[in-house]
Amino acid sequence: EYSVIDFPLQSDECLSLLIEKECEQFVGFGYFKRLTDGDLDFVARQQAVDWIRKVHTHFNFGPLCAYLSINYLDRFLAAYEFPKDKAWMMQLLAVACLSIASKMEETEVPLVLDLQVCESRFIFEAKTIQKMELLVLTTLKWRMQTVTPFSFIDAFIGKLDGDRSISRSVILKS
Amino acid sequence: MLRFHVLRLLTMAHIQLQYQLIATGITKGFYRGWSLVSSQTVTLKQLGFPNQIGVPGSLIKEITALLQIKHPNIIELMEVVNSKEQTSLMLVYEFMDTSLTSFMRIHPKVMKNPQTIKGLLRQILLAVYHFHSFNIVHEGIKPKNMFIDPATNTLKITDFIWPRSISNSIIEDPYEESTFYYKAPEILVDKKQVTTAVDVWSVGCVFAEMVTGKPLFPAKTEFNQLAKIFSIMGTPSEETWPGISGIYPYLHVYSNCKPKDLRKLVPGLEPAGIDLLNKLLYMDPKKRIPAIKALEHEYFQN
Repeated sequence: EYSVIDFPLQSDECLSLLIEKECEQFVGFGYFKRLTDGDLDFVARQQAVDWIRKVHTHFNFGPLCAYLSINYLDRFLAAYEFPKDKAWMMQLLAVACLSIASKMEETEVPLVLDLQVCESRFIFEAKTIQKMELLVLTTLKWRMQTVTPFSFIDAFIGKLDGDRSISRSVILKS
Repeated sequence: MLRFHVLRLLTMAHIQLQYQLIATGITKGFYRGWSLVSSQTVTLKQLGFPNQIGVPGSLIKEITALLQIKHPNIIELMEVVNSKEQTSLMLVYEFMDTSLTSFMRIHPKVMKNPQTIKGLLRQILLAVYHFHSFNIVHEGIKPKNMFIDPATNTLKITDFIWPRSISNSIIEDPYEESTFYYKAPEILVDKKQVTTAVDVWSVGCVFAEMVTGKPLFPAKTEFNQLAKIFSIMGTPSEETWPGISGIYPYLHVYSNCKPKDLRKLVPGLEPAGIDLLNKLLYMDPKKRIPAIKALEHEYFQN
């Protein structure tokens, strides 16, 4: 029988591709400086991250989903001139990022409207969230399959374990 | 750079002056366009989607994957552009205008050459293997989704995203009525049975059609498609397809057909080709040959 479930583990070539991609998607040291210097609203970002984590727990999403949401948020903030004094925009961004990340990673995704739980300070219409999603997708040039620490686990397990084939589910559990 | 220009053109009122519709009235939502910067002709595909769910997840995943895929036998998705109102998307593809369907009609003599068919099938399988290695299932492989450059006989596969990702899309597939000719039995039985094997089945259908010039399983309706397949490939049983009764309790409704001899149905195909065709059209998806193995088949050895 031909196996359709197990995919081959990543090779060295994949690993170097991963590293290359990770560098491409790095937000840059400038971003951290802007955050700590107060050029970007550090508190607003922290609130957005806290909210994402709460909702993430609420829906019992996987770890990669949280990572991706915050990754999108940071990459967006680094690339886009964001008005500083508009708290609602940061909240809208958080909803859009979480929504995209859940669609990328989760099998069961709540409606965008239902994502707005856990004392969300502002509630947005579905139409508004969709527009923000599109803005995030375009700003990040549709590079939504971000290289995360999780991406490397595959490659490194492969290295530790020689060439023995491990099913992906085992890797995802780790 | 392309982004700016296409965006500007899109937001202009006289959009029709900048883009020529390809096959007006047949294919809704498709435009022919060109980049002012590179003077390149492009195909533009407009996508709208309903509001309640935001941007469909399947669409995000596919665009993300397709932007990374570069292969000589896959039509390149060059860009994704938002409309000004952020309510629809425009996909910018490299432009090709002769589909395999038209090619077979226009060049029947070229298609009589076994080497041509071999060359085209090889390119189809290379493309299929490539996106399967990205864990993408096409699900819509058919001659209308393949384009050929008549000068070089280079074949490219297109149309991953539309229409299947967006089932509730305002845009409907004008070719929907013939799509089921190429559908694998397992998805006709149960839509959830999607694996990479469904594409392999479709490739088998296209292979036979390239040889004979006619679809192999031309059922009148989607409802009859399964019966049509059974009448040629034989009605499956627990022996030939373990697990079939679990996913499809209505098997007993179908008359018990014996498999027909593909040599008679696809005349003119060499024995190695018949053997490959039988493996591509294996009823049980678990035992159907994967694209990579098909490429190593002896049919391609000479």
